[in-house]
Amino acid sequence: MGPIAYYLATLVVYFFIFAILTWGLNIQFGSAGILNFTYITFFAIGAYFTGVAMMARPTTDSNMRYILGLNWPFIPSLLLGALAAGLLGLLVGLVALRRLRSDYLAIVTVSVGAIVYDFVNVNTSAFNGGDGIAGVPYPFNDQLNLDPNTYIFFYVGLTGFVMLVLGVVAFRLYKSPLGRTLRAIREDSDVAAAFGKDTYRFRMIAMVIGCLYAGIAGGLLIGFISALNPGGWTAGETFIIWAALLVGGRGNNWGALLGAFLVPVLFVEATRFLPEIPGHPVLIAAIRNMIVGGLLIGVLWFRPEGILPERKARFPFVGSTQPRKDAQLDS
Amino acid sequence: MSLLFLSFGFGLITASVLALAAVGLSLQFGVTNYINFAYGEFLTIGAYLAWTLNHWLHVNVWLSMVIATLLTGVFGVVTNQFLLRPFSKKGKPLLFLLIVTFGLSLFLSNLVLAIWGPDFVNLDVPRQQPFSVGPMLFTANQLAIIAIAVVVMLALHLLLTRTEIGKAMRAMSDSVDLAQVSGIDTDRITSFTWLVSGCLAGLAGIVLAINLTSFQPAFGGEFLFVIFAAVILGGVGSPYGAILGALVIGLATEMSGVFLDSAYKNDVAFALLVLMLLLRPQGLIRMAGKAA
Amino acid sequence: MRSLTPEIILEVSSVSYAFGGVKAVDGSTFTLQRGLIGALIGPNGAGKTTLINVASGALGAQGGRISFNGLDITGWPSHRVARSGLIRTFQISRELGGMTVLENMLVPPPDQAGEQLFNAVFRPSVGRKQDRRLVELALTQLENFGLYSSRDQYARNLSGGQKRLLELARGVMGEPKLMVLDEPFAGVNPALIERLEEHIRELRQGGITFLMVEHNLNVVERICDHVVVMAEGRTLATGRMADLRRNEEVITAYLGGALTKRAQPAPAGAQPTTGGMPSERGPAVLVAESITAGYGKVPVIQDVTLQAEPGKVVAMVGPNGAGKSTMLKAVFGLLRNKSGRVLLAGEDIGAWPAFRIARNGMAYVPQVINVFTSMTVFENLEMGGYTLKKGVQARANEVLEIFPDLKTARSKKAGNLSGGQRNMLGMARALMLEPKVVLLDEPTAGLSPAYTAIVWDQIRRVAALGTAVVVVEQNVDLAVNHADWVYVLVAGRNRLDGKAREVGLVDLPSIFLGGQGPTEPELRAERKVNEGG
Repeated sequence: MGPIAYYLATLVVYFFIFAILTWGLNIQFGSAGILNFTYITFFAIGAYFTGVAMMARPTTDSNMRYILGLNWPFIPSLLLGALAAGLLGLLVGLVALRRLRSDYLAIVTVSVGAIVYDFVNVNTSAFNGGDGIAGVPYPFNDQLNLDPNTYIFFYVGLTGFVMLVLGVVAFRLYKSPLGRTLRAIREDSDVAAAFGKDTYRFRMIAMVIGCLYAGIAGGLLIGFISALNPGGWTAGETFIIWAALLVGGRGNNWGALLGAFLVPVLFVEATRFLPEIPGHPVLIAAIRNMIVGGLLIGVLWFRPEGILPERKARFPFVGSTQPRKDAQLDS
Repeated sequence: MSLLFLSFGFGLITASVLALAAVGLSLQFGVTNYINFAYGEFLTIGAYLAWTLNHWLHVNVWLSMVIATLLTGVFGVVTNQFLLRPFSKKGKPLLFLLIVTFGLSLFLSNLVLAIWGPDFVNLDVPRQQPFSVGPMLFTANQLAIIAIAVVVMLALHLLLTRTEIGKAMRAMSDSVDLAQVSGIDTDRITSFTWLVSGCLAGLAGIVLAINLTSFQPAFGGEFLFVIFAAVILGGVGSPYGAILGALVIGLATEMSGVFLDSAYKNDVAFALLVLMLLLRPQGLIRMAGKAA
Repeated sequence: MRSLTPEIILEVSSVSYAFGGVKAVDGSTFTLQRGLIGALIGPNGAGKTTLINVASGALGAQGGRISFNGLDITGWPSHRVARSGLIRTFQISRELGGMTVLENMLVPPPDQAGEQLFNAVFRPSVGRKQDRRLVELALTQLENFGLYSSRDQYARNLSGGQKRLLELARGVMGEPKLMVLDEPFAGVNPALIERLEEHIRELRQGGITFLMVEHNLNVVERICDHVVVMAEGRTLATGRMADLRRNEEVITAYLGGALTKRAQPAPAGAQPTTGGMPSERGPAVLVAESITAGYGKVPVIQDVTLQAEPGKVVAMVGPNGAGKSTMLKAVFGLLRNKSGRVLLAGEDIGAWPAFRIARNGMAYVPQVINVFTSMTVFENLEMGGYTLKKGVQARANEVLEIFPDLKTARSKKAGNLSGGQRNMLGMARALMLEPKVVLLDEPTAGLSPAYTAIVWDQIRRVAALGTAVVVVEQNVDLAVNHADWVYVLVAGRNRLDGKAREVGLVDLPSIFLGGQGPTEPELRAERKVNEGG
């Protein structure tokens, strides 16, 4: 069990987590056209709530302060984290989704992101402020008792399983009549409303589901790295997920998967090994983020549909009952 | 009681900073009809340019501020000319322009980080003892901030009401199509708007930096949503509304400190933003109308 | 076979709606019986589209009551109105461009089980089963409408005509009891018109009631059983098209005053437009030849020709949807995909952008947004003189001398002016650069008769300065009485043109309202009956 294998396994876990995130954003933006400019916040909320649900109640002499401390097993904690993220999504939707213009939602998301970040950072009693929480127990390892080198492969399996389930859900949603209605709202919400679709309700569904995805991804991450502080989910992270979706292909779940591999895993991880510039510790990270920002703009200019564009809907399950052709004009 | 007056004074300072920033964002929205999510970074760039001119090139600190303000305006023009205008000429949907400015904000904030590093710096303005003005306390710098804001707002008012180019900006805010058939070169007015918007952002960044005494690369971006709150409160696209919004947000955030922990200052701005969106969307009618 | 007491499906009672201070719908009242094809007609600005926007829930009624199928639907949001069985289509085709034609068809069906989140995630077979049925249904409809072979194309790639067909076919998929169509025949070629008529008749046989806003009155006469005429936001008359043609009020609403009294065969002076220059016209400053233009893929005007001479007023008249405003926009360089030639003082300006045309001797006053509402009257004039290097103020004062009505309101916000004053201001703004040619789009629309006269006085005065004026005028009477030369446009083409007096002698009611038009004796007889009763 070499360090290379360990490192590759880590990458696989990250890939799975980013795949979930990109699918979630695809449900919001790719399907429903919702501009969520603080997607990472929902991820963080999911992570924090999963973490504090799993951790034991903080003792008075502990140097960490946080809410809950329920000592719950992983599964219910993960669900709690997802629910918290979904609830925040619901609140944001309540404020912003009634308005038709996408700017409103974008403004509200940016503001919510700033407020939540500020709150978590400053308010030490929620999630231990700027120092963050640490020491979240490894999921299921109280029963498994595996050493870290073996446990990581268990975790690859765990995240892989969750990713598969959420992938199936994402694909089903996209192909379902629900997905079709969401796309109709994305294309022209007046038309969708004129055909009886309650556009507010449908957009809310997409908003909340996308946030649930983010929450679950967050829970999986904190189970893996067992600690999180505000430095781990800066606004910059949101852009990476956006870049992944736009590069891979918005409105295409395979594209989202490809993007999750290309941007957060291949690009961000590959640049991790660049040597640090002495005396300038953040230079590499800054350049990396500049490239991500440039990528967002460049993709929209050169290939706005992404590498794998949205595909036309097909209905292979409809068996043709009779030969068809267009009716001809009499005249 | 004296605490209330004191915080009213601080409120005036914050409102002054906010007014400069909010008017710049609002003007540009009125003319181009999309929001610039990288606007916070424009503030950052203004402050860093002033700092650089002063520290690296040894320009007098006050002169640095003037030059930096103008340079940020030029930066706005360049951004429009080489990035945003091509996108809007290509007939890309509004959504794209929003994502482009969003991507630009990441690019710029990290450009600043790469050039100037993550540490706090401060503009070399003289430190002073505060003195009382009636029941309020100000330093000379803070009084200067208020004076700058008042003078700039007056100048803007004159620009918008007395000069041809300012009136043309208002005309474009009313209707781009009608402006075009009146013989107004709308591309030129748009460029000019970006110049004014950029200058205001740069200046706002500088006075914000003075008010905070020290700053780091993220400081403008962190201020963005407070600017949004002011702009939305006043009605998006209306520069005069933005001044009013800035006054309300500035006073409300500072005076809330009398009743709340000052750590929640920004939450007050956010709460006002949410309330506005929920209860008084009339402030936004203009924006909805322009959507077509 | 209809029952003896036909059931009412739609009842509109005193509905009103105002944009800002302008009353678009002002107490409109009418009913529509189940199983009929109804039409909503009336001159531009009558409030027809606003009314159907209110009825379908896109705009909230500000007064009155709308009941549909026995339900009071006043104030319902659009999706709820639609689910109760009232489906509307849009004036400009609103295809869901990023979805295939077939997918477009699958959006409208109501109560789709597969739209429920639980089914979508856990029981995809429900959605598939439902789609199997819906796809069959949709394909059958697409066959009917001749769109089957395009079923897998993105809807944005359809031709203009195909988009109109899709609009109707898609509406049918919403299982409507009543379909409200907003100008279903706009920009549709004659062959397709027949086809759409056929579809609408068939669907009515299938039990769908129709209400359409339509400008093509010949179509209305052919397929509509019940016609509601609106003018100035109110219901003016109802009945069958053939009868309404003879209704003087209706004719007046469409054409304006006294024309109805002199329906005669065309005299020799007015002739079909040939594009050649009749000898009695002087040298032209503006010549537009064979202009074909439109929005998107549908040409609204075809091969239209127009010219104007200094000091003369040229009027363009024609039924709604004839393409008059489109012609002005095309001449002024506001439409991109146009063909033909536009010469301004001998110079080809066909490829110029609007602002360059404005700077070089031509001015244009649009119909709807013709002033900068947040700016004062004087500032509006300054904007008109934007390119003047100096003397803007002086020129503005000069122009104000021509418009005494505006002189007193010089510091008033344009948004607070009356409609008539706004039109005046639009015109005044256009004069700032002393243009050789001024294009005015319906400067008298929505004005009181008294103010209309004032506006026309001004137009004559502007021409007297040596300017060539081109006016689109709804009111034929005014055009004939005040203009020097009149062009009649019908269905996007030149129909005839001539000296104003001579055009006034032509049987215009029949051109405007279709059919043969009433003859003089018939009208006289009708008046007697009216006066007697």
